[in-house]
Amino acid sequence: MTSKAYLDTGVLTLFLARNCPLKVQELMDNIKKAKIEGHLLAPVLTEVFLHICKLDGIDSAKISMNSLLKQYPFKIGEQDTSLIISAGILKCQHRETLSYVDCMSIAYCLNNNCVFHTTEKKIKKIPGNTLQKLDVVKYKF
Amino acid sequence: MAESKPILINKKGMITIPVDLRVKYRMLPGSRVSIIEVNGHLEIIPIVDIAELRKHDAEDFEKSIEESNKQELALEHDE
Repeated sequence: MTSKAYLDTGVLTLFLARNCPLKVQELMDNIKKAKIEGHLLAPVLTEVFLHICKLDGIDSAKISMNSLLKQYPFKIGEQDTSLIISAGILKCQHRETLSYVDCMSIAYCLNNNCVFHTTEKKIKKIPGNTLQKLDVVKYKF
Repeated sequence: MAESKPILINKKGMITIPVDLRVKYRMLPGSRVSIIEVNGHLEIIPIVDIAELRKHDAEDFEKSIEESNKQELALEHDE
């Protein structure tokens, strides 16, 4: 069975960086070859757009986003009631530490059995049973 | 800003992008683009190799993400 990988904003920006780590490149190569199922949510892509836009302007952000999505077969997850409730509960429980996008990402991974590929340092340090169930692969900037 | 003469759309819906614009935007034969509707108009957006898009170091993105995270949390606490 193909494993499912969910990528957060940090991992996607690492992929677009000049010094992209080998581990991220390998993950993306496997997604391209359909050896791993790549999952994303639209708010994460919006964040990636923002960071490229801040560094390099709106035209670069449009080209990067279009090129990424046209060349890599990502599944962009639906934001359904199940996700809204699961993410909402997480935000209620961890409003000081997790952003809305973090909550949606974690909820999506738990609901869809995805491994969470992230640059977020604090995920496993946050107390709570829900977060301990999360399968995480961490990357460093 | 460059502007073309009126262009005819043929029966198949095809148009010809004027040569000066193709040169300006490096639209070489064989290169690919997407036509995307954005805010009520159409945009022709190139599809390029990811290696060509890598202009910044990971550290630049890290700073940008940290800055945005701080701003977002500060906004939430102001509410």
